[in-house]
Amino acid sequence: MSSHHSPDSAAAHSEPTGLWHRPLKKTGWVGFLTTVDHKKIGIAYALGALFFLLVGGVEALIIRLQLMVPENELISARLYNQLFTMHGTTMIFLAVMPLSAAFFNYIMPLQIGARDVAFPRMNALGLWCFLLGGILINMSWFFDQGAPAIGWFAYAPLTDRQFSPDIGTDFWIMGLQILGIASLVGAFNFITTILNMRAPGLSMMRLPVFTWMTLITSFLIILAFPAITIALVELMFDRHFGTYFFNVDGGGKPILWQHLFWIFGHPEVYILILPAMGIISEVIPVFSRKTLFGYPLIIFSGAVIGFLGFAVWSHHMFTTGLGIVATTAFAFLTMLIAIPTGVKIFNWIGTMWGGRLRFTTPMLYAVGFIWMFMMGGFTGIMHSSPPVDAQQQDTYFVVAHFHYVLIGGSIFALLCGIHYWFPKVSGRIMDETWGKINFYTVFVGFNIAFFPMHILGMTGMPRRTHTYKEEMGWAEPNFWATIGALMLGFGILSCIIQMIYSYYKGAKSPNDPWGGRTLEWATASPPKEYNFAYTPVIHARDQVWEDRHGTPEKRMDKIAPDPEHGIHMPDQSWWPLITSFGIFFACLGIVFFRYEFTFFGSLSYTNGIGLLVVGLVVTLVGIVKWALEGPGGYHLYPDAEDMEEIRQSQSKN
Amino acid sequence: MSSHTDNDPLEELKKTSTGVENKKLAMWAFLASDCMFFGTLISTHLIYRKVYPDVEDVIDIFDIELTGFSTFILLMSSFLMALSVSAAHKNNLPSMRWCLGGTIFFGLIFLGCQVYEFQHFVFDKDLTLSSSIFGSTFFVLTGTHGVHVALGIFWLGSWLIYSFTDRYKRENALDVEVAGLYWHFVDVVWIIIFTVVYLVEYIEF
Amino acid sequence: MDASQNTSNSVDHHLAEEHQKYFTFFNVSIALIMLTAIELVIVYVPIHPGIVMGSLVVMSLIKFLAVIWWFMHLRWDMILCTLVFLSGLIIATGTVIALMLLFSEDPSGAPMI
Repeated sequence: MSSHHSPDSAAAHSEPTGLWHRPLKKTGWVGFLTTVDHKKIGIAYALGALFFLLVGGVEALIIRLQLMVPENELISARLYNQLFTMHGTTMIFLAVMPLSAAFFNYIMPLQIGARDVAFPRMNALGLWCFLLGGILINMSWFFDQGAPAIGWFAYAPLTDRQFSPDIGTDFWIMGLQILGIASLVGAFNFITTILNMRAPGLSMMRLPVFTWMTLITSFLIILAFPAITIALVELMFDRHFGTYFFNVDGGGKPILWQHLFWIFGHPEVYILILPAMGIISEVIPVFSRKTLFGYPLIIFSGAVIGFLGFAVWSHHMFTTGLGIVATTAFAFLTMLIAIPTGVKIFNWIGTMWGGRLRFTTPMLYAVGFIWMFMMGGFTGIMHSSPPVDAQQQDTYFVVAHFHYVLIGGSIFALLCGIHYWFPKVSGRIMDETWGKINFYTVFVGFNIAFFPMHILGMTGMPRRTHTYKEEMGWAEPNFWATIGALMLGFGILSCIIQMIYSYYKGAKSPNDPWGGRTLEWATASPPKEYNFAYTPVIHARDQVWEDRHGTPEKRMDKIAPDPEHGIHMPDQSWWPLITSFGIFFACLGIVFFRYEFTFFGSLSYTNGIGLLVVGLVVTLVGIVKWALEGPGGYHLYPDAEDMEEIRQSQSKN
Repeated sequence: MSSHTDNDPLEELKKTSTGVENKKLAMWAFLASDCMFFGTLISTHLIYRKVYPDVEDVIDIFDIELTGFSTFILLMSSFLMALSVSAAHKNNLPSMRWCLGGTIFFGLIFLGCQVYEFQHFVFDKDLTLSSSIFGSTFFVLTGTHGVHVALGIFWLGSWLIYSFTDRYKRENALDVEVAGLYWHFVDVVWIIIFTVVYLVEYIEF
Repeated sequence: MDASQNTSNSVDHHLAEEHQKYFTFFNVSIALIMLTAIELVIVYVPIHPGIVMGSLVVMSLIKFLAVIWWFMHLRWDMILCTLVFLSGLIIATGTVIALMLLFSEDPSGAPMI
């Protein structure tokens, strides 16, 4: 692969543009820390998310071990509270969301035939903010009162300084703010990329379903996150500056926190599940060897789910006494969501119906998803009825419900996506036998862990309870739930080990091992830096399938790059990393606003304003230098092999 | 890119799948997001005004002449901003600089009014963040808007300075336009705040 | 300006259009100021508060729409920009209204929490 720098960017490369010269090295630490390549960023997102998935998993297993037998004293009640708070926060914000973001980053630009996302440096900022936000939240473990113990929804007035004086709560607040920035910049980027950078001929109604779900999820993120941002700002003001937003002393209404939190929180549920539905909609047609049944309906119902997601938040609050009108309205709207969800499930079943099914590992996860997600969905419909909900509120029934949709739904689909796209990312295939053993371990373990929780909930076991008496009769289901959880944990760990093993030792994969249908399978595995040597011209929805089996007029056209200018690529940059560190230190300063450090027993340091100012200055410098540096860019030339491929396809047409 | 010197670089930026420039589309998505941001803040304020209508003697605290004046100022800055964008598109740099300078000047007057208003409320009217729930919601809402104005001034100021350097190019007209979109949005948020936070207090029910 | 050497027909057309916009912007800003003045006065006029409230809402809405339609170029831009912005505006407006209703008295007389 030859490369040279274009005349327009030569100036930017020859003169220093700041503290450092613009980084040009692609490999090693510099290459990693300054990367703007959506594929490297996607892999980094995935590695970070899998690490936090393990952390959150260990937290869950400690919780389960504590509940394994009645009146257990394995951990203290406070540690128990901290563990379930951190488990929820970690799994939602640091595992499932970023794992979805990893697929958005890696797969979506390939599916639309783009060279990169619209704003490559912003994408890097999103990655670093995610990692630093995760670090910030987990730093709380190392301070004297430890992690927050407020639940992942942090209901007021428990979060008031009077009731939670610990610094863990402040870490939680500011950590979530940084993660919000990460999600938001990512979402703006994806919206612009999907709408604006599609290959010629790739109209909106030819977009792969996963790309469509990325678009809808990104809209959900940009419209839902501001609500939690404001709620967290108000909470921060309550804790640091004595305002009364949620403080009852001054007339604040704790119920307002619940509203603001769930205005964000319910769309968040769809932010977690819509990417999963997108992955499933890609995998099922491939392994059914049929086109997706009812493509427009799947897209439309996804959009309807997204829109309705903003109109149902109060169903999390039925038992607070909203009044009859509000309760009825929200119950009705919640039941309405079952319709587009059901439409999707019928579409997936319709796709499989009459198809020539291949039960590979990704397909097993996909089918497992449909079944498990339906079970979670059914209990969800039960909750939409306020009188039923009043019985189930805060019991293990709810725990069973959302673990069925989040593990049986999201995590199954994400594992499905990992197995499905692993050959594309690594050029190697994951072993099928081992994959199937893992799937059955995960599937059986998951059901043993969470099915008994339905029964526990029905018999009245409350959520977030540290322990229970033997006479309650909850011992046996709890014991089995713990056994199942250990099995599930073992299965997930085994999956991750298999990933690492396959990355180094797996069998080599061809470019398209599955007989894929969408554009990412048309390029090399792993894709070259420039994704596609040519500009693909799309003539059909399932373009790669048409290339193999379709009529000649539906075959993809390949426009070779201008031999003089080659392919334009964005330059690397230090500034996203530096800006994210600025944001990190500014947030750390706010965390330490009232915290007293003591060194060597006597030396004390009492305010974080210094740190805040330093952080803001670094952020400002980072942004200004970022802007002055510009996107840059250099030109690459496809190698001989790629050029040969383009020539062949052109002669064929 | 630079190779097509015979074309207008601003038109080159429109060669996307939808015909809208990337930066402009991202800015509109950001503004959609900001609607939710201010929507949540304004709701917080209005809810507490509705639940506790008598927590403070708001009419005594407010100074509607000053706020009315700063509203005029902000509207005028928006007018100048629209002219700056127009000048930027015509590549009339002197005109763009004057209009941008005027926008920033009016923005600074608005901020000055707000700073004066805040110190007047705190020191003369004893309204602080923690004096009552009204203080909490009022200062956080208008303060957040003020921060947006300050960021806008910084952003526009950067372009004003940048336009004096030889790095300023024809295609930067788009960047000025995108900064302008942000500025106008801050203005429309103020239009809402002026009505629902200030004016409605004067209606006698 | 070296860029002015690049002008082609499309740019000339562009210039004429931009000149035309000046008058539009001027008229819009006059209208905005007039409406603000009316808003400032109307709150003191001794008429039914419902009318005052209604006219305030309508006038703010007109001001809001005028700024986004003309100053923010939605009138001249692709419809996509309007749609993207409306997605946020509609959901935000709906959320604000729903929250205000949730914090009102329940018709059935349920106590407010």
